Amino acid sequence: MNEGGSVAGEMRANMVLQGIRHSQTYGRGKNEYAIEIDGLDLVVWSGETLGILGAKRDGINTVADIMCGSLSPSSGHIYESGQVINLSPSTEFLADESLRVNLQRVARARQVNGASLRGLIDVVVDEAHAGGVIDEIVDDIDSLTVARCQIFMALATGIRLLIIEDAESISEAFRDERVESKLHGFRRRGGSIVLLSRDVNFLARTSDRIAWFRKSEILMDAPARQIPIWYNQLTKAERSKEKAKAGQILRRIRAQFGPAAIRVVK
Amino acid sequence: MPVSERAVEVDVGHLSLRGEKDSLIDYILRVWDVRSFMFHEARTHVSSRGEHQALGNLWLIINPIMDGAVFYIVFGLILQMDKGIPNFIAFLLVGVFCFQMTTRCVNGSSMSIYRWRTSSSTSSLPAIAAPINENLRTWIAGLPSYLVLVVMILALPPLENLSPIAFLVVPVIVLQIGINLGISLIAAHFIARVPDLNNILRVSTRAWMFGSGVMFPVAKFAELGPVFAFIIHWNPMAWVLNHIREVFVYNELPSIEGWLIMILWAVVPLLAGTVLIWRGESSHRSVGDE
Repeated sequence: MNEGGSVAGEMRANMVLQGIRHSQTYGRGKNEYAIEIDGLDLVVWSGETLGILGAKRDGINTVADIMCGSLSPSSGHIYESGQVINLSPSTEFLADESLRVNLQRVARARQVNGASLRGLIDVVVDEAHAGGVIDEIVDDIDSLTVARCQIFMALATGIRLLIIEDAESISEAFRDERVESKLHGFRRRGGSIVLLSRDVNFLARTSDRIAWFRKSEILMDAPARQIPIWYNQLTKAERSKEKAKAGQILRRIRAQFGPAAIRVVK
Repeated sequence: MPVSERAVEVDVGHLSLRGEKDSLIDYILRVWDVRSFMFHEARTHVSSRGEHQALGNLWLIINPIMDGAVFYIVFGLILQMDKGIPNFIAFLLVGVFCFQMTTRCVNGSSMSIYRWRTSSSTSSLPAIAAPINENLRTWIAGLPSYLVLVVMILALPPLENLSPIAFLVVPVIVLQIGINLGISLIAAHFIARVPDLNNILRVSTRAWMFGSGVMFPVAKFAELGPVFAFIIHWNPMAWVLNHIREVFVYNELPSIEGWLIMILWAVVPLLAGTVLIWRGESSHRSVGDE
């Protein structure tokens, strides 16, 4: 990302969130909490893997919902380059149904029907090496094969932006050669991946850049390798209840790595 | 938002600005676009229910036969009850089978938006697809029970002769589908916002059953006073059951007034429920997130 008010050179964005405001309450009773997003700016660049670090209560899932269009913010602008899929591996497939039924279900939910549906499933199953288990119940199939099928199916529907919630739950898949090569090809063609996780080390390994969310706002937006150092320092200070030190770290993070305000050029 | 001196200019010339909320027409078209998914979802759910049982989907037929047999044995053979109603067994079977379908549709749909939103493959689809899908599922699973009902009415004494009037049962069932769906949409909308209402709904459907003439003629209720008479008069299920009995069991042409009330109930709640869910589409997202 170019900083200091310059135009972002040759880089093309796949999604731009500008001035997003949204309030939402989740949970009930003791578990109730509010997300107050107030003027969020975020760019997802073409070809990058963006990690979004934080917990549910930091608003990362709300941001994912806004990005994929299942939630409309109260104000702000969203610029997008094409279809977005929000994949949540833990709920994407029905565990007590066969892999075939699940693949059909996901494809139909994305409006793929008829002959294209059959063709698409054949391709996904072939690429994921899942031909032998297609009629088995998802619960009985190894998790890597299932994750491969979920990711390949998502990528096969012509998307530009793939969001994966609870990404660390399929960390095994990110070490898999076939998945890696598929995701690499997707990004080379200009696609973007957004990984949501509360595991800083996982995101540092898998992402190019990380936007660290805290209390519904971006605390730090920087190259992935820089985040764990600051994250660990802040976590350590907070755990040992060193308020002054934690405050000092927060101020330094905000001054050096606070999110860039976005100005759009048409 | 943290104060930052950084700023970045982004060329959005190649991007499209996401539009405002769908218009109602666009929203309905989005639902139409996912019809194939809804049918697949409903069919899969119904067929998978029988997968772990030796007799599989045969239970869709056997269950209503057993239900009907129990009613016949208890009321027809043991109690020999007729309450002064001609062909009381057929009267009872129509009431129980047809009202059961409505309660299943309405109660089944009540938490549907919640479940729909917790599945990532359906979370981006229109929320209204959830209660529609639930109704579809209930009808696919329940249609065999209607066939069993027909066979039982024709087979159990006193034997009834069918006339062409009996075919009027088809539009009555079409109207019942509309009534069920409309009420399901409204219930699903409010229960998605206040889940506690689900308990009220279950009690209400039970009270609705008593006021619909499932096991005895509604006229008895209507005689209790003008308020009861008004409620019974405008109760769509009382008319559904009455019309099915008249055309199918008693071979009589049903009243126009009943048709009009059923049409009203099949259209108005359907429109109201659609508008409510469309308007609350965004807020329904929070329901499934905990």
